[in-house]
Amino acid sequence: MRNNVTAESLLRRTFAGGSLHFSSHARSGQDTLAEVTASHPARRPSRPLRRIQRFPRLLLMLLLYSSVVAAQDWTENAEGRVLGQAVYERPASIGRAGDMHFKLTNKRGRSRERLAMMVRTQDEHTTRVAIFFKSPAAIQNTAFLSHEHDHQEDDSWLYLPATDRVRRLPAAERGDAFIGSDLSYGDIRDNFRFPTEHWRFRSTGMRTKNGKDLRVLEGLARSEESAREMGYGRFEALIDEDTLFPVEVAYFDVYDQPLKQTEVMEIGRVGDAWVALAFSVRNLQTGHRTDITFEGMRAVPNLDERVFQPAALVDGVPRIR
Amino acid sequence: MVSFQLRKNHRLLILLLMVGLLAPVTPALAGLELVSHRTELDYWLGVDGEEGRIALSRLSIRPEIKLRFDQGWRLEAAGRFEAARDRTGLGTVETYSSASRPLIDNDDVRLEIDRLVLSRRIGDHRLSFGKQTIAWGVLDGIQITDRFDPVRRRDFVLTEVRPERLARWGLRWQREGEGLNVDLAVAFDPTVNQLANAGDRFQPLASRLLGGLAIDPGSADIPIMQSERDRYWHDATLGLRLSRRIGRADASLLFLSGPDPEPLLQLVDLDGSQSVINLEHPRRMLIGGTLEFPAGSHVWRLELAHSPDQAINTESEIQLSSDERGRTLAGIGMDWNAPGGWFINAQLAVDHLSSGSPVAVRPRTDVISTLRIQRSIAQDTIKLRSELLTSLSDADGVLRASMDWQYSDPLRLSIGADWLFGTRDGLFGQYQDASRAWLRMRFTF
Repeated sequence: MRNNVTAESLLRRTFAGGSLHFSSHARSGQDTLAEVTASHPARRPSRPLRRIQRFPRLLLMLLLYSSVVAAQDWTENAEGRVLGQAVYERPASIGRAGDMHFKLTNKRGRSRERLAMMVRTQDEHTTRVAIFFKSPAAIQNTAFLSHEHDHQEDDSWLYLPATDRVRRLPAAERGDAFIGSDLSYGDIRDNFRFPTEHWRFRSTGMRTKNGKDLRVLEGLARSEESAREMGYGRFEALIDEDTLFPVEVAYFDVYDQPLKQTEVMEIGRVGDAWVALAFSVRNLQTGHRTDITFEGMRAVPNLDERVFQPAALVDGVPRIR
Repeated sequence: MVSFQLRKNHRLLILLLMVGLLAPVTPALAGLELVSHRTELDYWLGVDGEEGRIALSRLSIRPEIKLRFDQGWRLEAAGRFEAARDRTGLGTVETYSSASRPLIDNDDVRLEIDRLVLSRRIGDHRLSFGKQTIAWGVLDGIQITDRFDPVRRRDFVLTEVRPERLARWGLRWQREGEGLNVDLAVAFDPTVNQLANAGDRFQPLASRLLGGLAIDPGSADIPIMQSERDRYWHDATLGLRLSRRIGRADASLLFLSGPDPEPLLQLVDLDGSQSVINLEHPRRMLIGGTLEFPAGSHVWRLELAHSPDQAINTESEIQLSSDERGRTLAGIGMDWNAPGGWFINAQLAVDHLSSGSPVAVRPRTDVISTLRIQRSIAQDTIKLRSELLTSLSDADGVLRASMDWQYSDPLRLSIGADWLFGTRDGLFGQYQDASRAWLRMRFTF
């Protein structure tokens, strides 16, 4: 049943994203004729032009066909469900802090770098993340704070030194890019987990990478709304069953086109939890790439609550011992 | 010479006081840690919209440093060196107290202490002393409750960040934590709004800002003088802000008493033969409140303030007469993360005077709206921004458009244009000849 919903949604999306010609053909009668006439008065396009116009239509039909087939073929299985749940429930450290190094590289190979202290804590229903930028100088002392709640809208704040004020931010879409990187706000929040309210899972066997046997876990968005919210319709991941940590994740967009390739190069134990210490995210559609490494990441079980107060953003990088 | 000596003495006194206050920090010096330091070089070039002449050519160098010591001590210092040779100018300094005046001050070059704050945190409490700003209010650039700090008006409101605050010497105590937050500030510094110098591009021209006089900017029939700004105790500003979280909303109440940073024009007879226009800043009280709450992809902001004793110039047979009125300001604003990566900020504010006779020189009700639309592209390296500020009561405004390009981590290039429209006597229209196109280069290291 779920498959059909997703297939139907994919169908609708593809049509909605189609050209005027496509939607015109889907309808009939006077309105359609009037619309076509209005946009292409009197003259019939030349033959080469008609060929060009036909091309996107064919491409869309092909995409649509492959998406629908892919969605209909997709069957959840118990093994995948158990593994997805285990990854989702992987232990999280109560509190941790460390320096986060971003390297943003565009498709021409030009790169920018950012260094920030990240402080993170998690309780039963709320994850709180504070990011204090240290460099480059232009964004030094800029600070971002989010309180991500399981059962209500998230709260977030930004401190820009130039304005002297901590500013409350409207809720970002999960799929929105996080501070110019290839990570989305949802990626930051999920921390290499796949929320079970958004994904259905299946496991499709084992694959070997760097001499290690890894479990293949695939996910399909539970609904059109989930897919739109996350910006992802599907993923394929390789899971290390010893740590329940993804080593590689390929994300597909809502049109089932390859979108991002995430690779985890290093993980480490921080408190009771495994965390990614070095990983990269490549956007396959823009050619942009983000490399993230953590330095000095450590468990801080008794993090000062004040660090997660909006007013504390003004103080800049906190001293955490 | 006398006033120069006086200024030097004031600065020396404050410096000694700072050194005295630094004494308790000495034991904490062992834990000295550099939190951050940076310097921004900023060159801003503007070309007159109609004549194509250089309207703005300003170089600013702004270094800043933040240090941290043991036992919760912090020191923050920032300076501002500016050089300009243009028709916009660097603004007045007569509106500054002697203690806050630039260290170097001549027509084209200035060096100011932008900020010098020593603070200590003890638990939920923080005490700060020094030259600092107090940013209250929740709306963007519209000052309803955000009236503690004086601001720079030399560029009118055509700056990237509004308002451009002026730091003042004073004390601040904050209690931040769960429950009620308290922010108590006293500025023993009578500095008021910095204005454009006579003859400069953004010199006030509308008669509503000139006590009802229609002054030809070229004429100097009646000299204009700034009232004395060195009565540190008498002209101190006191502010108290109480805030707390209510559900997901942030609410605050505030009280403010101090000299109005906006001038009241008074005609003063000097010696029976010569009159001057004196820019006075009578004390006024203000009570107000703010509310800010998120709702999905929106954040809503509300502000309300009332001043029972606002001094205003009135229309009368006697030139530059004045009176007091009740003044109520209200504003609403919204941030919206719109689909497609667009960000929209819209605000509406009303500034209303109570009725009375004689009538005020300014309109009884001013209605101001702002609309800003912006979008970042190319992984946030390019930011497109468009902004419309309008006075609905004066039917004038300014349309601003700009594009920022973060060429590399230290270098940011911006281009833009500001088009001012309206009537000569309007808030924005008074500067209808000051429309400009501009280019800005910022290098931060």
